[in-house]
Amino acid sequence: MQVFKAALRTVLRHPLYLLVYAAFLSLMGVFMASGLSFGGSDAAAFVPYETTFSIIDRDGSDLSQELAAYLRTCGIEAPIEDTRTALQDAVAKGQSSYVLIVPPGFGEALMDAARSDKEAPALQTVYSYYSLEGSLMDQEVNEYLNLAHAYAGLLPHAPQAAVAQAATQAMGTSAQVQTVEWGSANAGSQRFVFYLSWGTYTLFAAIIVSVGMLMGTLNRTDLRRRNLVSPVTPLKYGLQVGAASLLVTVGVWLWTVGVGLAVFHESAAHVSGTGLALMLASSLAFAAIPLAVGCLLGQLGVGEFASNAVGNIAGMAVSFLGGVWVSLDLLDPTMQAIAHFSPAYWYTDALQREADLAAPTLDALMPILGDLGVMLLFAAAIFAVALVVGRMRAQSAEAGGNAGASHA
Amino acid sequence: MDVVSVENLVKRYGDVVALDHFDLHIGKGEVFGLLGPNGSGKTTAINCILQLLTYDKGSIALFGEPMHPSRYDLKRRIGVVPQNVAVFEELTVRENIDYFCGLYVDDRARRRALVDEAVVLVGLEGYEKRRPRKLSGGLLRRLNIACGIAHKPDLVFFDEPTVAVDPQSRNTILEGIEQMNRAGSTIVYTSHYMEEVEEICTRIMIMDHGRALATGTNTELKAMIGAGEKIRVETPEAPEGLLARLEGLPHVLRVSHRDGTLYVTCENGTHNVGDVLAVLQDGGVPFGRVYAEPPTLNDVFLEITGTELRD
Repeated sequence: MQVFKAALRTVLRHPLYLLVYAAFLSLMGVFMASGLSFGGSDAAAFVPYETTFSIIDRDGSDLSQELAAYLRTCGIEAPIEDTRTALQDAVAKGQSSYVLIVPPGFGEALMDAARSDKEAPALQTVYSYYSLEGSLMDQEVNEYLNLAHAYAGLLPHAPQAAVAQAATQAMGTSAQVQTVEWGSANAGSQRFVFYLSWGTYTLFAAIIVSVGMLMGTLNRTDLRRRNLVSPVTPLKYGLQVGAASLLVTVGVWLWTVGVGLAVFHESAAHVSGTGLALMLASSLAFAAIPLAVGCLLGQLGVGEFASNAVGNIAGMAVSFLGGVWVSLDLLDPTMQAIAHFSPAYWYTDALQREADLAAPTLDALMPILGDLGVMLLFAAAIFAVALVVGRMRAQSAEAGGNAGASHA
Repeated sequence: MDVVSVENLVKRYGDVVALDHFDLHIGKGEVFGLLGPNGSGKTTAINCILQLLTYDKGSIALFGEPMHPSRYDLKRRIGVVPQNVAVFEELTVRENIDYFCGLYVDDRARRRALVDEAVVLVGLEGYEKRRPRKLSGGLLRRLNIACGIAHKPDLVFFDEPTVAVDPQSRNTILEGIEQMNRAGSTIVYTSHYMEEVEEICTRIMIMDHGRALATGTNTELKAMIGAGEKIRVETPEAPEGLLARLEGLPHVLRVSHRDGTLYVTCENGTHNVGDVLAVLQDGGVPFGRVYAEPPTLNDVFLEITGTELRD
C-alpha cells in the first residue's frame, strides 16, 4: 500500500490543481448551464408584432381600397381624420407608426404608367421615428404596388379592380415557414445535459493533470530506479499506481456529477431512471479517456507543467468538438466530420439519447451502447499506447530498465 | 561466502566498454571502497549488480545466490543510496523515509521504529515534517541515505553519497556508515574522494576504464607501489646543482621544484627528511616549513595509471 498512499499524497499535495480544474470548472459549468436558454414549451408560440398604421384614401379607387384592405391583414389600422393637425399628431403622439396618404387619381395613374411605360406615381408616407415598424410597413406597400404595376402591364385590358385583386392574391402567396425545434424533445432535462456535456472539459483537464502528475512523479527516473531495486514486484507496483489513478479519476467524476445532480436535480428529474443511470455511466466511461491520456503522459515522463498544458488544451479541444462551446449543427460539415474522431462527440450524443430515453427498449439502447463502446474503445486504444510506451521505457537503460538483464 | 561475487563482467555501451571483464568479491562485514575517477565504471558496476542495467557477459551472485531481476528475496536484503537524490518532493522527510522503508518492511509498528532510528542515524531530528525543497543540500543527502538504509539491509550500496555536501553533513554520513557496519551491514562505497575511502574502507578496489587495477587494504595498496614518503620543503629558489645532489641521495626517487616548493619523493619504507635537510644546509639554501607525508591513494593511482585520480 506504500506506493498507493504515496501516489495519492502526490495528488493531494497539489490542492490548487484540484481546486482549479475540478471545482472551478464545475462551477463554470453550473453558471453556463444556468445562464443558457434551452427553449421550452413557449418556443413555438411565436406571435408576430402587428404594426399600427393609418391610411388616408383620397383616391377611393379600386386599387387604393384593395391596398387598404390588404394592409389591414398586416397590421392594426388606427383611423385618423384627414386634417393637417390630425396627420401630424398621429405619428408624433404614437397613435400610428405609419401613415399612408393615397392622392386622388393614384389608381388610374398607376395603371396608365404601367401600360404606357411612364414613371409610376408616388405615395405620401410618414414614418414613426420610434421604431422600424413604419419602414417595414412601407416595404409591404411598395411590394404590393410593384405587383399591381406588374399585373397592369401583363394584363393590358384588365380593369383596375381585377389588377388589384391579382396583386392581393399574389401577396397572399408566400414561402411556407416552419419553426424547427433543435435538440431534445425533453427540453426540461437540457440544463443537466448541458452541464454534463460541459463536464468533458472538467473531466479531461482535472483527470489528465492529476493522473499525469501522479504517474509522472512515480515514473521519474531516479525514483523509478529506487523502486526497481526494491522487492516490490512490477505487477504489485503497477496495481497500486493504477488503483491510485483510478481512485483520483472516480473522485473527480463523483465531484463533477455530484455538483450537477445537486444543482440541477430538477432538470435531472425530467430524465427517466434508466436514462439517468446511463448518463452517469456514460460520464464515467468518458472519464476513462482522460485517465488513459494521463497514464500515457506519465509513461512518457511528462512533467507537471506539460501535464497542465495538455490537460487544458485537450479539454478545450475535446469539449469544442463535442459541441459544448458551439453547437455542431452550426459548424461546417468538415468540422462535423472531424468531431466524429473526438470522444466528446460520442459522449454528448449518448447524453442526448439518454436524456430522451423514455423506455429501455432494445432499439433505444443500442445506439447508446454503441456510443459507450466507442468511448471505451478510445480509452482502450490510448491505454494500449501507454502500455507500449511504458514497456519501452522500462527496458531502456536510461530509465533504469532491467528487463534485458535476465537474458544476460 | 562472499556477500558480493562478480565474475568476468562485461558491459558495453555501443563501442564503449564500460566494464571490461570486471571481477569483484566482497566478504561479509566489509566496508569495501570502489575508488576511481568519474567515468571509471563504478556506478555501472553497481547498476549491473543491482540488475538496473543489462550486461553483455559475466555472472553476479549476492549472498551466494545468483542475482537476477526477479530475485526479490535478495533485493529485500539490499539497500541502495543512489548518487542523485531520489526522493518525493511532495512528501515530508518522514513520509519519504517511511515510503522507501515500506517497500521492504510491511509491519507498520516495526517500520515506525526503523524510521525513527534512520532519522537519528543521519541526524535529521527536527526536520521530519519538512518537505525536501526546504532542506539544504547536505540535509537532502542525509535524507537520501536514510531512505536507502532505514530497513536495515545486510548489504548497502553507497554511490558517491557525499558529493557536494558540507563538512558537517559529510562527517555525519561517514559516522552513520561506520555505525551501520558495526551493526553488521556489509558496505559497498563508491567515491572519487580518496580521503573518505581511506578513512572508512577496510578494503579498496581502484578502478579505471572499467577494469579493476588493484585491490587490497589501504596499507596493502600503498605497499604495492615503490613510492613512499613525500617531502615538501618551502624554499624560494633551487640553486644550480641542488636537484642533482638531492637525486643522488640513496632512496630518493624523484625531485622537483615549482612555485617556491621543493618536492622529494622517496622509496617506500624509508625516512629521509634528515638527509634532505642536510643537503640544503650544506648548500646554504634557505628554507621555511618542512612537511613529510606518507603516500596517498592518489599516489597509488598515479603510479598505476600514470594520471592523477582527480583528472
